[in-house]
Amino acid sequence: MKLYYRLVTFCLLAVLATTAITQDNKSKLREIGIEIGIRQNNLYEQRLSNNWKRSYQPVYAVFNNKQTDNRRQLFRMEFSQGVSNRSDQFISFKNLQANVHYSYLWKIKNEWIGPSYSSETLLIWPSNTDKFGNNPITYTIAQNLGFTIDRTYNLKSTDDWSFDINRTIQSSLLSYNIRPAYGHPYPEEYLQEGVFTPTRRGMGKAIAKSGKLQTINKKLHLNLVLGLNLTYRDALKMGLNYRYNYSATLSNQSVKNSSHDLSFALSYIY
Amino acid sequence: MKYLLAILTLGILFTSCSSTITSEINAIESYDEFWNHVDRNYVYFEEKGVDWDEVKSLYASELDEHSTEQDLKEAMGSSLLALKDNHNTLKTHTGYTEFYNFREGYDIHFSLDLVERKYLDSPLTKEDFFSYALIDDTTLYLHISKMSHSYNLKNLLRRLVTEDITTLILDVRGNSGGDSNQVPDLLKDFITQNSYLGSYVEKSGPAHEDKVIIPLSIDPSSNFHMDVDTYVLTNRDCYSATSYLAAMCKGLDRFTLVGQITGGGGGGASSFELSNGWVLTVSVSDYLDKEGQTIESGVVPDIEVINTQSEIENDIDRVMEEVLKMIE
Repeated sequence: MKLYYRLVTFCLLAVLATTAITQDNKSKLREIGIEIGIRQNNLYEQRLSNNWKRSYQPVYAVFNNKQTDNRRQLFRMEFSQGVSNRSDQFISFKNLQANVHYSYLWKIKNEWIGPSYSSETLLIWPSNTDKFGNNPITYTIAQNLGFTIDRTYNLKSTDDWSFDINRTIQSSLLSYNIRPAYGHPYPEEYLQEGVFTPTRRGMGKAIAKSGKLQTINKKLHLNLVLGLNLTYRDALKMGLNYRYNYSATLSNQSVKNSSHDLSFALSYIY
Repeated sequence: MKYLLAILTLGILFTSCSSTITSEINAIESYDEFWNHVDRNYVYFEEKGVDWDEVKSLYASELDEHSTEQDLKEAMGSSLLALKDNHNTLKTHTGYTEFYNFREGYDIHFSLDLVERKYLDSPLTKEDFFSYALIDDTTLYLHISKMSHSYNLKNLLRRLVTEDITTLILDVRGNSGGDSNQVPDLLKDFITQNSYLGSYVEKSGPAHEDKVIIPLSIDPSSNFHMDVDTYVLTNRDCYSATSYLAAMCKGLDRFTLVGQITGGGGGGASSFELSNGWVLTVSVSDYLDKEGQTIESGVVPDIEVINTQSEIENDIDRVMEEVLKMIE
């Protein structure tokens, strides 16, 4: 139950942080947009392999940013799915990644700095050419609290156009990480009363409760973004972004995910 | 701009994390990697009574920096064989290492043709992996050659087991396994109350004794019930999922197991890719019968009957005859 209370506390803190953010009603600029790109993904899942698995896969994202003179909010949801190269390898990985980032930033000199929350989900389905293919899906589901540092450099402006460079650094500091290193988390009542049925009722709760609070030395989630943006009449924005993502659970059976994205973003500012 | 340069430098540094996709590792390191994975994940060290450290000292000592891939393959293959588990395999780029033979030392004799010719009222009808025919108006014979398409099997049984049928002979001899996940669901049609089927055992940590036991019970189907006496016919060929079926059936009301001890194979196998690309598969989970005994070494039938070669050659299936005698 201790773990359960920790989870509840963690969620409450996340919600409070979000609530604090939404009290800012003086937004001057709002930006909503989509992003499509290609991801080079490198996966290391020690439950399944001692080798990195590389894949090239599409990445899709939607984002919604708000800004006043001294506050900036960044919200982004992304999704990506792909299969690692099968040539000359007996085991390949199909991966599914879904991430959500939220940052609330204050302007300090020319930097925007503040706390961030991110939710990351990484599911891996191994495909095995071996005689027995009983490998289960492996999963890492983490809720991260951390910080974001963001800055925009204006390179050139005319009456209609402005050209700028943006860079963002996001890192987790504390995570609630669900990542079973062995077996699978079963509901406690199944173990105590012998009422496990193959319908898998109650498995979701057991999975949610099986997580651990981990600091940056055990669970790291890092994002580095570099973007070139062209804005027309402060209304339409096009961007070319390079994004580096690194996520790792460093434990007995570690999982590491490193990816490089090159994406095109289109947004509307109002 | 100096910040931008710093970010780019960091990016390049992190990019190097993915450059270790392939690497050359010598035989001793490869054997250690193999040995450690088995040591942390294999579920049966205690049950098999194998000293894994001793296995290492025996086979790792044959390796040095000049050892070839073949030497390494033999050392790993021999180490796996010491565990006497057919689910343990090593797939290399030149093929599998030797499989443990769970049939060795057993007389295994079964002929479906003989059953069809001598004991059935009509020729066998085949659907998927299932062959069936009536023995008489009240007795249905069903042979399952592979544990697969369980949903179809459930529907087939619901169709075939009419009100007239009072006895079902489920023959799983020669069935070397498949998928056991649907067996509990299949058995729901045969029970009238919540029934304990046994327990799954899974590894919960790297130590040999790190295991968690998950008891398994099922409720009866709400919309269908087979009011039949069921005889499950087994032999040593029955392995893995078929042993699960035998263990789950054994001890249930109106079920009788007849034949030879099954081949066992209680381990749930999970594969792992070593750094050199070879795939190592070992048992990482177990199944315990209703008495809490592992089924890895086989499920002992309620009534042990073993066919001999000469009996089969003389058109006698003693297991079938024993069952038919009991039905009478």
